[in-house]
Amino acid sequence: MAGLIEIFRKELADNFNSKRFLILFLLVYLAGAATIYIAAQNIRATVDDSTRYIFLNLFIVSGSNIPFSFPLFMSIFIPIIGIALGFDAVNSERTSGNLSRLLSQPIYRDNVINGKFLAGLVMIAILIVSIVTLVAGLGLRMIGVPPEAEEILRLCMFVIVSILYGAFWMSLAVLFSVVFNKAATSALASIAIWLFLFLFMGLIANLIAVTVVPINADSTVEQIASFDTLYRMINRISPGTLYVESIQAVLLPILGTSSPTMMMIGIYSGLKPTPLPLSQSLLIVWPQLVGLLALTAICFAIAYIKFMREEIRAT
Amino acid sequence: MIRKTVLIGILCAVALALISASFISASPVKATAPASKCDMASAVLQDDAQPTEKLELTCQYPALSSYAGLNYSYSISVTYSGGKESKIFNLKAVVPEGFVSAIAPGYGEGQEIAEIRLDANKGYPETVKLTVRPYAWKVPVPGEYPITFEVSSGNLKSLILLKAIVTANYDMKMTTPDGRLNTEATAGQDNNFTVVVGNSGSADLEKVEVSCKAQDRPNGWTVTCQPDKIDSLKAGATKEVQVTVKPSEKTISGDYMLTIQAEPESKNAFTNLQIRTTVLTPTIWGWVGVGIVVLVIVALAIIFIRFGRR
Amino acid sequence: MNNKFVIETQNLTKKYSKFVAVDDLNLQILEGEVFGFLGPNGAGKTTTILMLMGFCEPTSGLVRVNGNDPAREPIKVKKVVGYMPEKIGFYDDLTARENLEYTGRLNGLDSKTLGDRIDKLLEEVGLKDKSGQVVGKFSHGMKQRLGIADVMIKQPGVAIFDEPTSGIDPEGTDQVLNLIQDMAKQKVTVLISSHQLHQVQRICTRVGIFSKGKMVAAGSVDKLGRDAFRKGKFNIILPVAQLTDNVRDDVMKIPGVVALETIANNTVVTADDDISKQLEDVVLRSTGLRVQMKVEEFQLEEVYMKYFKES
Ligand SMILES: Nc1ncnc2c1ncn2[C@@H]1O[C@H](COP(=O)(O)OP(=O)(O)OP(=O)(O)O)[C@@H](O)[C@H]1O
Ligand SMILES: [Mg+2]
Repeated sequence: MAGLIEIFRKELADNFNSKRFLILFLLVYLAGAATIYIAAQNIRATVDDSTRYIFLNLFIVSGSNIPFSFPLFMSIFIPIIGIALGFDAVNSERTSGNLSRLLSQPIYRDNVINGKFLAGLVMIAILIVSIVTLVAGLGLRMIGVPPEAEEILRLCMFVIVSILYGAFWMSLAVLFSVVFNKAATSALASIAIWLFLFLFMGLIANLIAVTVVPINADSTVEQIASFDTLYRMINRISPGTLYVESIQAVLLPILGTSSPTMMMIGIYSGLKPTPLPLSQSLLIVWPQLVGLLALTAICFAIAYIKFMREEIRAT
Repeated sequence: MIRKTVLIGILCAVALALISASFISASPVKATAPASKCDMASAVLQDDAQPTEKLELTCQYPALSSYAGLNYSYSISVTYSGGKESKIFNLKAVVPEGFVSAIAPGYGEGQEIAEIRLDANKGYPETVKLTVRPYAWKVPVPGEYPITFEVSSGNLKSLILLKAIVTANYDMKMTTPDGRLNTEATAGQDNNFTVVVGNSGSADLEKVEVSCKAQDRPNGWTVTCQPDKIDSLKAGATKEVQVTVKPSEKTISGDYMLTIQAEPESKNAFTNLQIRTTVLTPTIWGWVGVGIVVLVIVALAIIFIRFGRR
Repeated sequence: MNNKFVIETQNLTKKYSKFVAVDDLNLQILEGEVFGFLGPNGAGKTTTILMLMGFCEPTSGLVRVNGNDPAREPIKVKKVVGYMPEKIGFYDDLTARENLEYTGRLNGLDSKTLGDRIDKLLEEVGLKDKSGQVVGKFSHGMKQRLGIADVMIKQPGVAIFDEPTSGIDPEGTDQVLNLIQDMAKQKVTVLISSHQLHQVQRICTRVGIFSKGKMVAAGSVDKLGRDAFRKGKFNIILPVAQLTDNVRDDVMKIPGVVALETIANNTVVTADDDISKQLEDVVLRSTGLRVQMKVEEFQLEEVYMKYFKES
């Protein structure tokens, strides 16, 4: 236990001292400030008197010409941060020759990987909590509308889900750092997976869904619905989809389903959306959250087992 | 070089000053001169001496009616007959107090005339345009105002009685005391500003309602006017109305347009005023927001110092 | 207590798929011994050490360090064992002191004792004036020295050095060897893997020679030498062609003398100790001659070479 705490503190100190994270932090804060500025510029256009959660809107609205919103920004930055935190967790220790030395001290082997993971998690948490509170503070200053209790709860949920998402990418990167001996290889592998999921997953899901359920301009609502279901089922292989769906439900209380397409169909057919209570929103995203958690756990477990069984040889 | 331009500038300024001074000194003279002569003229009204020489004045529309403050233009036909040759006649208009007159040829603009040469055997009448207008600074009270127009040459004179009927003019104006059309407001709180409702018409207005209609203000706002009904607003009078704006609790800070309108019960006059209302972040939330930001920065600094090395 | 084995392996075998890196190794090291691992590259020295540390799992066989299985009870083992790996590395962006502090804290040392120990150790390894410098700017030898300090910081009961002197200058090598010998004096069991035979010979009480995963010979250097050449540790060469039988007998009576033979025009006396004084006396007494003698210490190298010429 003492070993875990020591390693955790050392890793944390490393992170805080590294230029890598200084740059990353600054980048995130700047981008966050830009998004909040854009949001504050455009929030008047999106809010009408029927809008109940004005403060939450601050986190949703995007620019009118620039489709850049806070969730989009987060869904791009969090993977980068997670990967940056994890990709050289184990292999850098190994190549630098520190691992043998470290493990010859009276600590359990898993202390190393756990300590590193925890420190990374704390970094992600600090980053996300600070950026959300900063945005909230700046937003409050700019729009002058205080959040309701439920909005605060929803923002907390947003923070938790975001941390979870970061944890997933970090555990994936940690896994690669155990599998690949070169930090560059593991970084490339992580980024490749991220890019693939980010750029091509939707394309592939669309392709498969279209071949299975062909739709066109005069398809019935049922056909569109089944297409949409299939499309999203496939898309959910990507943790990014799980994250986006979760934060949509959390930040948009009005969303009665995790499918924006179905929601639009509902609105066109005359259903007026009413905001759901938080518990209902959570119920909707429960599967997504569990999915994210499971993916994180699987990646970490593989990394953990691999690391525990591996031979520690100074090469 | 510089000296040259300064010199030219000074010359120009002097020229301008001279021109404007001549205008200013010229206008009161013209305005008062006809008015002072009118009393004497009216004394020799009925004399019509030479029967052979005939001077006839006719006007197709001898009584004109108009809103207070507007001009009255009479077209008067002057017929001179029986004379041997052409003769020069004096033209004179007698107008009630508060009005000024101007005589001009029936055609052509701008030129004021005081005399006219009439040909005895012309066969058709000469037209003269008499324009009567109230002083710009004083709207005449509604009513009938007699005007006398006299044409004379020696003993030969003729006059025609005209009438200017001033009908009541209903008009309102709304401004703010200092002329500023923007104000600041805080969400969820009462914010006051003052508008001035003025009766710029010539008639009194009764039961003027001052209000801000629902479509003229952002949703969820309340706007009350104190007083919201002015019982009577005399012609030319003004009244300050206190407007209390309460933006809804959740108003996003920024600029909003409000339209305040005033209308008497009879609905014969109307005015409105657009006020740009800047909703400020309530100071408390502004500070809370800043506080949160500062707190986060301090917390980050502490974490960095506490957990980072060196 | 003294004859309890601090390090013990029984039929220890490590296979990498088909390749046998360590083959049926039986090793017993007593407390306070300085044991040297010798052998050519790829003989399995490091692999054996890794199994002792619990860093790699034996395919079969038994490992005990202080009576504990390193795979089952790693903490108990690592509490007493200090290990300096073959290719040692430190955190490049930390100073020498910070690196040692981290190791110390991982061993649960409080900052007071830690500070004192670090000061002392840095002085001993000759890095006192470099303590505030980042390790990234250290030379290889400086890192190696720091590695020694890193092992000693926890005051281990067993110290395992995998090629500790590679890359250290001669003076530094001497310092390091002295340090290791000091440790041995304080009843620390030391295990050294090295290719520098002189050093091994100088400090090791026993050596084991590895070849292709097997320990082909083990024992004190003297014993190995005797086994290999049936000879003692010292050769004393007398420039005398022939000795009388009386003299021969007298010489053989000197304690420690193992053998006496005539090579070319010289007589070579082999002994376990440097007996040149006694020999001089004997020769003087029996022949009345004062002869010049050449004392040659026997080198481990010869033993080593012999083993690998044979195989
Ligand atoms: N992961 C591995 N897979 C397969 N073979 C391995 C592996 N690790 C080591 N070996 C082999 O095991 C043998 C023993 O290696 P070891 O490192 O123990 O040698 P060594 O005696 O320490 O050599 P050196 O003097 O060069 O340090 C070598 O032949 C090496 O090729
Ligand atoms: Mg080796």
